[in-house]
Amino acid sequence: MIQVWRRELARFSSTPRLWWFLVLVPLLISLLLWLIFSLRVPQDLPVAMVDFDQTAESRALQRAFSATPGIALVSVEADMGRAAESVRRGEAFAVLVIPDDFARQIVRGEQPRLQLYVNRQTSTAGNIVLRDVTTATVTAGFGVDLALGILPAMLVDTRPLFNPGLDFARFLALPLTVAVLHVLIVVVAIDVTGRELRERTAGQWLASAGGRAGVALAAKLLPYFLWFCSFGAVLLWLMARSLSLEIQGSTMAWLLAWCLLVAACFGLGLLLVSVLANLRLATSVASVLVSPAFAYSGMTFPVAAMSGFAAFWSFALPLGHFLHFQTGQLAMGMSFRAGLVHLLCLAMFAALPLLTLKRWQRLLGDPGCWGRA
Amino acid sequence: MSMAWRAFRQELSAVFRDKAVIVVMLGGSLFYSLFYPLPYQPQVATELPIGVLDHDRSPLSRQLIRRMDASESVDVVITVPDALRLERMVRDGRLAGYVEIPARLNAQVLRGEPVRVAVFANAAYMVMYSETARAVSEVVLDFNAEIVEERLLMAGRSPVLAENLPEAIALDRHELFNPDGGYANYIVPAVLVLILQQTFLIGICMMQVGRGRLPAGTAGLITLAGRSLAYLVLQLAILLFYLLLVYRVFGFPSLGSVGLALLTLTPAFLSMILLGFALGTLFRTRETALQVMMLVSIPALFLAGFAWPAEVIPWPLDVIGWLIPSTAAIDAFIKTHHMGASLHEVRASWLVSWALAAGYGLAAWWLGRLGGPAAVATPQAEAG
Repeated sequence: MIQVWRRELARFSSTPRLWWFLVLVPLLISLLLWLIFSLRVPQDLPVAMVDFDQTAESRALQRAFSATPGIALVSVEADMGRAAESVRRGEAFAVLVIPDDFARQIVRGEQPRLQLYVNRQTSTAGNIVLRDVTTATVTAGFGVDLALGILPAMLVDTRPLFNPGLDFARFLALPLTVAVLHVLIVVVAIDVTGRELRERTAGQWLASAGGRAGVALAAKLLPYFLWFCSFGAVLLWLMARSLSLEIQGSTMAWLLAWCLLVAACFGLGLLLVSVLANLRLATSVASVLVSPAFAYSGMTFPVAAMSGFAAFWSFALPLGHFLHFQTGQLAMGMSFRAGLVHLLCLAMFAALPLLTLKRWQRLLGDPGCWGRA
Repeated sequence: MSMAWRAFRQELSAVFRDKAVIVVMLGGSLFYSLFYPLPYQPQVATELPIGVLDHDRSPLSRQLIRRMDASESVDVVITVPDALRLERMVRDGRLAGYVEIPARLNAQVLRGEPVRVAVFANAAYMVMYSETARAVSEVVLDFNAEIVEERLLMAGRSPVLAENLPEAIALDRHELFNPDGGYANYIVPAVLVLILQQTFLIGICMMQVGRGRLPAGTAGLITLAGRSLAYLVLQLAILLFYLLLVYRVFGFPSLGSVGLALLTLTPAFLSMILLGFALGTLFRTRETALQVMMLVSIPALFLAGFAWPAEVIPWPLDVIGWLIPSTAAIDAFIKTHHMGASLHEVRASWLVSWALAAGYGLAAWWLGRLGGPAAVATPQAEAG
């Protein structure tokens, strides 16, 4: 084992790429994603206001809209053409129109109809605008009724659980960082093993492990595994802290799951190298599996709403299991029992290389399997 | 011109002879375009499981529950008078949320006192939260309007007033460009542009590894132009495949013409290709290009100011984002093809793409004449 480590240290120090992949890239990725989402809650999204009424009542309504945190009214001019253009140019996310006889209709109880043209091509901004304009309209309507002595019968309070400020950034920044790190870990696992085949050094590697493939793999990967477990855990923990996530469940369980994800990524990478025996091809196939994994993870669009194949594929990839477990432990205080299935799935991925040990033995020992690109 | 034409033809045939490159550039871009939209294909989350904590158990509360259950977005799966159990279920991810109906709902409504119904939804998941909260709010507000209308009729108001007053100000919501805010319609078009960027950057970088220097002087520039055109033709062809086939298979709505889309994206594609030529001189082995690009996709998507509004990205990062070709490409493409903007209305992004193409072109020309680092010796299998 010592032999393998000595050899690996020499290889590592002569490969600047690995230095980048192990230290700088994880740091840069975490910092970048943290910075992108550092402003957290989208506020003051521009909405073009077209007021055809221009009365005290319509201006009072405008003030009610201005007071909502999510939107900011811009370009208050009575020109639909200009307003529509500002949406197409992306300067405003919506156009809100107050009809010309708004004040008169209010007085007569004729239910004036505001028109909201909202850009749904953007999901986050569109949702916030839609929500805030709807709420402000309903509230203003209740105000009008109240002045006439009409009380509402039923009101609704929306209470966001686990995230009172509706700060979705922290529920994106952390999972996205994990998603990129998990791609990186698979890449590194494939690189350090597959390159030995590619560069025809697999024989030396096997020899340094006394001819046993299991020892060769375990010894070579152990330092990388420990590094990603500890460095990744530190990065994630720092990120969670700086996003002021108050950990609701168990920090230990969360970081244990992280180690299992690292192991699962190694498992996936090793499986691909052993089956394909080709560094480039294994990396390509890995890219197909792990690059779209975030889309399938259900962190944005819920798994419950996915259909057949997509729901299955979401379950069949390691990333989603970790992300749901992480959210459960960090934000929701999920019980360990409910999260156990995710840990078991991660452990199964980690165990994959055991199935291919025989094949590894042949790959490392047979020069005919080396040098494929 | 004949030199450019020769460079064009040679590049195209070199690409088609290189299995590794063709697999990534054509295989990858076609496969991802069909594979990526699948999780989002239902477009809108429906039948999200919710629970109800009914303290009242009156005919009125049961009526409210039936209405919620009838809503397309949520599905009432459990009704128990046990708050802890419901909260536990939300924590364990078995419910999207639960609704609390207060005791004396029936009595208070009959007496004309306003009652508050609370919806607790899991806000650790954005889409789940918004859909649940929106659906329950709509049901309660509709129910409220009906009850108030009935009261006003009983109080002797005219039917017209009784219908209008419960909702004193109405809001007509026109959802532009993407009916019902479908998730696939929103994210996939932007990602398709990103896929074209990533697969071509990888392919071009692979082609560049270990390649000889560009000829000196203007001959180098002409060769570079000829080679770039080869990739431009391929990218435009794949874009046509996306617009004519992928869009139809998944039913993505669009407002712009195919011709306008090609015109909008041409400078953006050139900037991607020339960036590829410039970056390609930096790699020593082909896999490294693939490895690095795999790590760039997610940050590039979120720097594009699309999935996450540019308004809330710190400005220095926003500036860096504009150096990535996909940012201007996605901005211009989404606006012309999906939001009905004219080329004139997106000229800022379009010009940024041309500027990037010019800048990366010069960089590629300069780096290409210096020649890249010696490639690590690769077996012949690579070329075949």
